Amino acid sequence: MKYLMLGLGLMALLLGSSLFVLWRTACCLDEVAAPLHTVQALLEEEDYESILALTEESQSLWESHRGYFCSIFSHAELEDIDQGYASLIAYAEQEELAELRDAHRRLLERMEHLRRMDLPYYYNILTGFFRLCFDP
Amino acid sequence: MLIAYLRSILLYLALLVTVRLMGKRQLGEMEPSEFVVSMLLANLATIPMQDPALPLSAGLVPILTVLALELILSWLSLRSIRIRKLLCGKPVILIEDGRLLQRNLKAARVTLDELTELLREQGILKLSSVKYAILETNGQVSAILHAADRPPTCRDCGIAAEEEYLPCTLISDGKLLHTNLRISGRDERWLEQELHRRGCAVSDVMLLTVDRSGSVCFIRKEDTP
Repeated sequence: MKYLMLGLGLMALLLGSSLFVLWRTACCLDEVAAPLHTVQALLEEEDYESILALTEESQSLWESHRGYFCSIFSHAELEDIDQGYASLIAYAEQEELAELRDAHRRLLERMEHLRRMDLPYYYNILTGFFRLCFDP
Repeated sequence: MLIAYLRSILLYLALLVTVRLMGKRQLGEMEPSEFVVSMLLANLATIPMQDPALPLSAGLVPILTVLALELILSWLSLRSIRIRKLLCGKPVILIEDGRLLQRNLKAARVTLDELTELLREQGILKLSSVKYAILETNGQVSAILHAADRPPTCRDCGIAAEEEYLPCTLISDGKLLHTNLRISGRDERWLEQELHRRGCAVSDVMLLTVDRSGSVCFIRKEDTP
């Protein structure tokens, strides 16, 4: 009975931790992505100063959660986001609207991918590995 | 993390079914679930160990999930004969009264060459001398010979055999084991007398054991005079 309780306890603990990680990841990524969603509206107005400020705010939020993100995401996924911020800031400084739009869309897509990749959808269970490897 | 958890459950169960379908002779000396666990753990541990870019949780979650499933399934197989049969299978009789059961041999996917090899490993050359040969759930073959072919025992020969007892180690590499001395029912005075008779101290003894019949095994350390 001791071993059964240990096994069931461990399964429950792992399921609980997994669901907690899922919830916390979504909360953190929503918080990080919120300034980037505001940037969407500013792109139409071509307000580069505000875009830059909001991007830096989003980046500092991302950095504040880095320790947590490092414990659940691979280095490649983290580097993708870092690279996304670097491109976004560079295009905002150069005031290149087309590239800025593209970099902004890609960064939001990457964040959405990170948010969704641990959701218990059948395609995540069946093909998650291949999607991560071949379609980042 | 949740996906790693769910995928570990699915892969563990899939491997368990695969190993069961592979047949007993693939297993070596392990039960199917033990075989699956050892196979999985070895690989699960190496991937995050080799690749520092992966978070530690990517290795820990599957390992702990496999451990938890193994604990649950081993408990269930202890409690239920049906689950035990499902997980480990059941022994298959391959030879009965010296007669080869060819249907069972085919079902277990054991060739005649493999069977004779397994019997030869046990010193059996003639199939006709085997009363029963049973393929156990861990892939080993147990052979029981006809009474006439079995080596005679002391009882068969009418010899009064001396019982053997488990020896208890009292001194190991110059160190006195007080707990074993108490378990053996001896005291330090008896030990002192034994050592005095052999002219040495505790530190000079490599091994000293005693069994229930009082038989003492004494080995002196080689570097002492």
